[in-house]
Amino acid sequence: MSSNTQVLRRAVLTQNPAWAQLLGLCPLMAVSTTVVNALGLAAASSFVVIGSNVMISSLRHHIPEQARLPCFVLIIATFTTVTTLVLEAFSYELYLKIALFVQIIVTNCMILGRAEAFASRQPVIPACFDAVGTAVGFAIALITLGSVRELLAYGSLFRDADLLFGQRAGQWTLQLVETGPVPLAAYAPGAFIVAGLMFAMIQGISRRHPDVKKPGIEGT
Amino acid sequence: MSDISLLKVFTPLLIIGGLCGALLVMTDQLTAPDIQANREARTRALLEEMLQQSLPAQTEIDADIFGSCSEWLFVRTQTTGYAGPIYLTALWRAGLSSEDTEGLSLRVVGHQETPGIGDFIDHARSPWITDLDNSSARAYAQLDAVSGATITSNAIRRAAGQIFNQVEVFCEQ
Repeated sequence: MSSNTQVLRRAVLTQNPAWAQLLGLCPLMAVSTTVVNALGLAAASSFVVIGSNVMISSLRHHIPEQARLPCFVLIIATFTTVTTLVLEAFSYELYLKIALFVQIIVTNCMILGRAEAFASRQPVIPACFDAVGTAVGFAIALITLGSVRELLAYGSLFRDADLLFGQRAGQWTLQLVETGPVPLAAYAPGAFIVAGLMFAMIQGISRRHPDVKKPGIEGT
Repeated sequence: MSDISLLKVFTPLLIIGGLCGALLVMTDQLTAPDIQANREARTRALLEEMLQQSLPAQTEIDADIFGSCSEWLFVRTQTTGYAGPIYLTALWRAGLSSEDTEGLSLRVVGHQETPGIGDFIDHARSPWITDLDNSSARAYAQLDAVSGATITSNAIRRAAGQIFNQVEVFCEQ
């Protein structure tokens, strides 16, 4: 396996920001009420983590050691603001629902963690692979949690898809059960319970798998 | 830290700041027209929902006060809540001669009140403010404070009084 593929695999699976490192849980819990909200935040976080990782890696020889954190935060804040503006311009209804959690991506330790531990020490290509892996890993966690919570809370999947994909997507809603069997799943306590069970299940499976290394925050 | 070290630290920081600023300016230029159109459409939808009829296309909805004193007026105002300014849009409907026949409906369009405690003023979260639709000046003046959010509810009561005064001044001119 090439080193770039290893970087990607590690970022998605063994060092997944959500279930292995437990990073970025605030937006994960808050926004994963439906699959569409989760997809919106996943897209926004992906853009920020990939953009900032690539820019930090490109500028790594010019970023002074003493001022690296202000530089990282400046770059991450720029990409977060760009994402917020684009979302407000082209997906306004979704922006109104998830804007607060898009804006706090700037303080997301998952993104700052990858910038500090990986992007600032590696060339652009591996940094890009690491960012893609981190983004995909976070998106998998968000969408899985969003699907489970939406099913439990509303008995449906892809409700409000028109917010993200335009008016034609209004028909995409799959109403699998008439009413959600566990309405609590739509609220914060439900998010903690569902996420806790999901993370425990993943940890259980990964412990039985002989190839999976023990998760930890590795940089290089 | 010597001057040379300071220069070594701050020069890259300034250059990176410049790059980030340029990216932001470019994005702002590209998205500003769409954002403006989205905000206007949302404001117009809110006003039409309050008025329960379409607004004429040429209505300048950006004005602080607009409409007709003989029918209805929209007033935009702000008051100070617990955690910062509360921005309101109000619909005043003309009545006959006594203050009890005037009706005022309020909508909060921006606030920073505590979620779960003071955000009952947001019509998307609670019917508290919509239940007051078309209430008179006297009804707003006698509004009960909400337990746990006295400053917030008093701010709304103060804003209603302020709006009635604004309407009076506007219509006297």
